[in-house]
Amino acid sequence: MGRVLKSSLIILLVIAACAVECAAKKRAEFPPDPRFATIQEILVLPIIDTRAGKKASVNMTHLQHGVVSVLKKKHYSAGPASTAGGNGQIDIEDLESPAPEWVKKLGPADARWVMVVCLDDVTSKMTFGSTGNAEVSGYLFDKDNGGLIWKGKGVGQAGQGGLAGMMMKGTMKGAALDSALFSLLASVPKRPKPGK
Amino acid sequence: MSTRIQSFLTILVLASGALGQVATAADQDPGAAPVAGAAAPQAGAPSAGLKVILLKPSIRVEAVTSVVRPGMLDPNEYIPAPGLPAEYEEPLLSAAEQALAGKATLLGMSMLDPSVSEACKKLEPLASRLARGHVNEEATDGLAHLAALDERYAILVQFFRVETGPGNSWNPMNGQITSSSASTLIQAAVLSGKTAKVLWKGERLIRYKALPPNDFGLKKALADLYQNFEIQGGN
Repeated sequence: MGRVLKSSLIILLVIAACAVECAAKKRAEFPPDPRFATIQEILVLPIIDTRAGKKASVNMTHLQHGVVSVLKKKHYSAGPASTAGGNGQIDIEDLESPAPEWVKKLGPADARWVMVVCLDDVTSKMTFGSTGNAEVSGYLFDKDNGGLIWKGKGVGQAGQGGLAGMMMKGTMKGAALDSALFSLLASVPKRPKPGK
Repeated sequence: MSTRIQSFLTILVLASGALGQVATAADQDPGAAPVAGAAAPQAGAPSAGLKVILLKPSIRVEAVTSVVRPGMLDPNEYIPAPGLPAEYEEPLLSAAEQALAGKATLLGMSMLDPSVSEACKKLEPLASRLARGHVNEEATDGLAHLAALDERYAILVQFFRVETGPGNSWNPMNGQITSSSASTLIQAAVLSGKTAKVLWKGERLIRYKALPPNDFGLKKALADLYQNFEIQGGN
């Protein structure tokens, strides 16, 4: 009788632990901020190059599509925009403290939610092996009210030691950029799958 | 047979060493060489007897926290900030003063008339943008206001950013390595009040290092930045 009770208690505890974990996971998946819940489509503007110093060549269109891809994985409807809008040159200072009138001119005229991603740095170097570092920052605006919904910064590191790593130097920038994008968009809440 | 293998291995090691050296040179280790040198003086320079006002530098000390790729060793190891923003002000100002010595009349903020001082205060929030040589509409207005007081006025603006982030790492299990994401950036420019054009600009980016205010590396970086400092129309 005692063994049965013990077993039941253990099973109950395991079920309770699983339930708590599942509930926590489910809660994390829902957007905590209602502003994210109302988003219908995010247009990702062409990547802004805010790098200082010597600039290595980077496929900005590939990077822009990378952002779209990550957003889609988080169940947002997203697409790339071909224009940055009518504000002329965009500086990092404009994004840090934007005026609503300035935000309203971002991207295509019919877009409401626009994401601006800046490439702050990307580099690779050879050591005994090779490493890559990248830094990106992002801003999500709601043009309807000219407000900033979200901003973030992502740092990406990649590297491999030894002779194999040395031969992989050419891939390090790309790997660091992928890692930086993942890091940047980690703070954008994942939405539930459509229809759920 | 074993001699052949030994020779092959020796060649491989030598080749990889040479490859490493070539790549390092091509990367231009920013700790040793300037990233972007001083720009040549531009057309439309002001008249002789330039009075350069040294604005308060714009300084940012940032710590980037980030989600690091899993599998890395010590993913949460962040380097603490190397200094307070105010501690960087003195080395920046003294480097600029040294660079200007004998090349133009230098005016510190404390030497200015209240009207000039007020005009300069309006330009201070734009320092980070101006130090890159980006003159927007607001800056053009501010510079025009300054020129209205004396058309020989020019400003020297400096932007300094030191950033710390995830550091070096090595994972002995799979051989993954990373380099520090710390960096130090110094940008400076001299802009004419009369023409609102860049008379000189320089930039220095030191990757993998967040330089403390009293570090020799910072002094060297500042010396390198102003190494080719030359403004047309100076004394």
